[in-house]
Amino acid sequence: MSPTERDGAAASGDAETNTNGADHGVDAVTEALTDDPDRFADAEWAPGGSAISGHARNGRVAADGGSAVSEFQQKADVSMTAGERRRQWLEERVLAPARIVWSDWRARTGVLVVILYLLMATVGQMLIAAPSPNQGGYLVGAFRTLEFPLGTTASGVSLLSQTVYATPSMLTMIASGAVFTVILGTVFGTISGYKGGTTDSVLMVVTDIMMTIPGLPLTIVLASALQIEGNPVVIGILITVNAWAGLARAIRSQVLTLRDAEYVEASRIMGMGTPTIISGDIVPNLMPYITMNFVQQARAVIFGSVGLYFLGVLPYNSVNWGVMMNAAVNRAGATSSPAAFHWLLVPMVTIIVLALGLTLLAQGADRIFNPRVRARHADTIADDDESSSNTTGGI
Amino acid sequence: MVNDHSDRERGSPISRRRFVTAAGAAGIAGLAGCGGQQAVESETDGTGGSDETTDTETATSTPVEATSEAQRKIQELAYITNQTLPVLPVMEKLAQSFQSTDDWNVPDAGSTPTQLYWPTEWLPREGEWTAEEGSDDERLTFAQWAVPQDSQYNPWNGQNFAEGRRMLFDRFMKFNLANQEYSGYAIQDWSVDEETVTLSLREGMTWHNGDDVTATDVANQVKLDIYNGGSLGSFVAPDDMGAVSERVVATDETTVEITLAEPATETILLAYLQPKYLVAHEGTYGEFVAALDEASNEDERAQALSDLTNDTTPEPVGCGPFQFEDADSQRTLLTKYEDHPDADNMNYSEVEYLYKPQNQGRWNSLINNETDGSATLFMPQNRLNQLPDSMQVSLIPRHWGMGLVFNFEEEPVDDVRVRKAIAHVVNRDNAAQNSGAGTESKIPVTYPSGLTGEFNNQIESGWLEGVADEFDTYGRGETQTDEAASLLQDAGYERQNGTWQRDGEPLELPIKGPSGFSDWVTGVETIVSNLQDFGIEAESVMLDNSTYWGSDYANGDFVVGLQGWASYNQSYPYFHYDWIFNSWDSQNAWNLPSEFESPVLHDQERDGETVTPVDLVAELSTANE
Repeated sequence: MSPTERDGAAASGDAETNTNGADHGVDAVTEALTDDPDRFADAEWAPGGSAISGHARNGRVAADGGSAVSEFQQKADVSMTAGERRRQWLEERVLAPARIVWSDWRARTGVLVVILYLLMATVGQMLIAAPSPNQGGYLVGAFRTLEFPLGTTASGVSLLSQTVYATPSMLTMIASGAVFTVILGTVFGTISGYKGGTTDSVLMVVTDIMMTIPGLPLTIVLASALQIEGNPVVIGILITVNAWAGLARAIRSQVLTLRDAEYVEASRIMGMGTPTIISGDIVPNLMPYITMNFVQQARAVIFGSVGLYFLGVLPYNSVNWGVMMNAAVNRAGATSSPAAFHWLLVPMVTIIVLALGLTLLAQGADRIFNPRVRARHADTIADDDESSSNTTGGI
Repeated sequence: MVNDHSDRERGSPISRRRFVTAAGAAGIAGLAGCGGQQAVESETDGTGGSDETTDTETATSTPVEATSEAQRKIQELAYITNQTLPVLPVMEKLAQSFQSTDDWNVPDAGSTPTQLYWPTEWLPREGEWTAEEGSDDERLTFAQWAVPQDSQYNPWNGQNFAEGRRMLFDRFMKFNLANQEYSGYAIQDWSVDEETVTLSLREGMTWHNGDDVTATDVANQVKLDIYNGGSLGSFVAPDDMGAVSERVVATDETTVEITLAEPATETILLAYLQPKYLVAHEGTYGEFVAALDEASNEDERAQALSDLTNDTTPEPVGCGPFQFEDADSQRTLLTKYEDHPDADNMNYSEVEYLYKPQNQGRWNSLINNETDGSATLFMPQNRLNQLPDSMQVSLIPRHWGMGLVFNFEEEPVDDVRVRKAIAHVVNRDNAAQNSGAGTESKIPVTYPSGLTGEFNNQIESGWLEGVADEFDTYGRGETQTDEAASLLQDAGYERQNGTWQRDGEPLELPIKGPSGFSDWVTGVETIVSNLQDFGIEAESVMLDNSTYWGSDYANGDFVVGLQGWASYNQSYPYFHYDWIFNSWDSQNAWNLPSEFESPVLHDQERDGETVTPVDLVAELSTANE
């Protein structure tokens, strides 16, 4: 399927809103149903904005009336070159979301924060010397010297350097945990919701079992039983080891409302395989929800890992924000020692800022995936484009 | 007996490790929350507690004639350790001890009377810790690690050490750190004569229920300790536990005779006897002693022993200056027992132990004057600065400290050249300094040789007098890269792009340790940093305490591990070498070979470079002093 079509399918869940946004007034559901790349050609005769109720195919047949030419034989008035398609894809997929993000202060802040941490994990390592004992004096306070802007630990390690060098493994851990949850939750949820029957029962039994196991104790037990030795990817997965179950449940119920949608049924009738339908028709509709969950899980991994590192139950082989906090409290009693408080505060603020950034990003993601907002921004793009080039607008 | 750490290690290490594992989530959090020293201490809490008590009066080295057989053997063992490095001693520990001078009369910090390992136990008994006149403080307050109402008063039940035991029961003897002399306490007098040890009981002692303390109680104590796997067993009945009942006998009301299987060194016997608490009240433990004495085979004995180790005594009958009053979830309360011979030395009527399971809680309690002192606790400099002026701090030698242990079944550390290179690279000064968090409580080891006593120079001018020059220091306060490089080149490694490699494989050195021992973790950070700077791919892998001790360490699943390098309980070198070469840990976790190749220091002691250190250790136990 071309991007255009896919988008039609994706947006069709919100057919009402899209109808208003579409220049040619073609009902999105109809577009999806026809699965016809040349559907714009029908614009003149298509029943403007008519809602199709009941069985989709019946509705279409009724709308076609006595037309002599089958839709399947129609050709496009306008053809797009590969370059134009690429540009259109870029407009829709990158620039429009980017503009939405930029127009919203929450999303903008979230993105900036995440970019900042990514830079810390990459460029930061090149700019700042690796942490090592006796870099500076013992327990130098924060903002006292230029050499150690965030101060030092009780063994003279620069806190800035520790914070920066902990970033890559933390981000890896966060990403691995979030990806693990989202993929497993989506796979279980969509398959189980779409297939139904025995598959559904079996998958949901597994899901329910996972859901009933208390996550934190399970993580602690697994962390000590497995030979993980501080690998951040494995720890990220461990922390979210059963968090996917809740997501799977939620996604399943969403899929149940989508599986009987007309365009899904159409794909089914056309003989498309389950994976194609799930990935082409169902998952795109769930993307907002999934993305929101990805960010939420990322936050959960930060809090979970930092908490467990702080308690000292996770193995580690490199510096890490939770371990920094643990060290501050256990080695220097930072909670009630003014001299060592910065040691606790620096990793804490680092974590809070990242968590805040991710939260804002999640709110921003909501806007990106909200078709109404996107449509407005896409319109803007289209208007601009129409004046300068001949590209087809309307999406 | 439970008291000897190294011996119990050999006997049933797993049960001890298991306990740590079984401590479960609560234990994990508890241990993990502890700062370094405390974690060390609290770990031993779970193991039977008497661990801590034993090292109570550790000795500084006894000046020994340089020509004596014992000293020669000690020097030889030290030399073997120094040249083959079965462990790398990094630092020695001093314990910080706290006494409040607010409302209390205590000896000055650092004065001789405070140089007891457990000042909170001895100072009150000796009349050195009394309430100030006019003070209305009727109660001496300390802290304890375990939940008071779950704490154990049965010393053979190795769980939840009840801090109150220190005041409830009297020890066999006192040991003076200043002059390294034993003096009588519950055992007033003793004699060691060839194969017989005679113990005479102090007069006028009674149990808190009114019974007289008799020699039978003392014999019970010695017997139960031996039945439970204590070290004296290897001197009294090395082959047959069935002989114990005949060899440990109360000959009259106040005399106990112990018959040895063969003559043994008095220093070693006393080191085992001195720290024992007299707990085995005939009325409470008599049945267990009878069952063990009468057991006709191993199975019956094992059954009787498990009855003993599973027994709990919620209301202990003690013989010390304070008796049990009650224990709830937050504190243990003891009241004065007026009939104790030393009762007049204490002008207050109660002692309480507050439940403080974490270092930070104890630090705060001392800072806020909530507790009146602490026997031993690690407190970093920034918290020490917050102490009120009335709280004084003394440093007490510990004869123990963090070291690197090597797994001899793992490359590359099975090669002595690699171990030596590591020793050259590690800057022990920095490691000890960082580990001490600004305090003077960690002392770098000058001669990695298995001898303790760094704090008062007893190694160089005591144990190693005349031969210290032969020993390699491996650069205590510097990174000796040239020596390390030539050793590694000799072992087939080459330095390429700043990394040591052999056959294209980098020299990797993962160091595993318990994350809850935070002072150790700090030390290791320094060590890893030294090694990395030199081009060895070292990394520290810190595991949850129970995982490390219970699984990775106990199963020998490490290349380099962290462990105390000396005997936890004793200071006499025999005990350290017994720990290094002959303990359960060294044979099962470190997989030490029985034979080592080492240059010879004293020709009299051995011929040829091949040596079996375990034999030398055994000879030392009976060598003439």
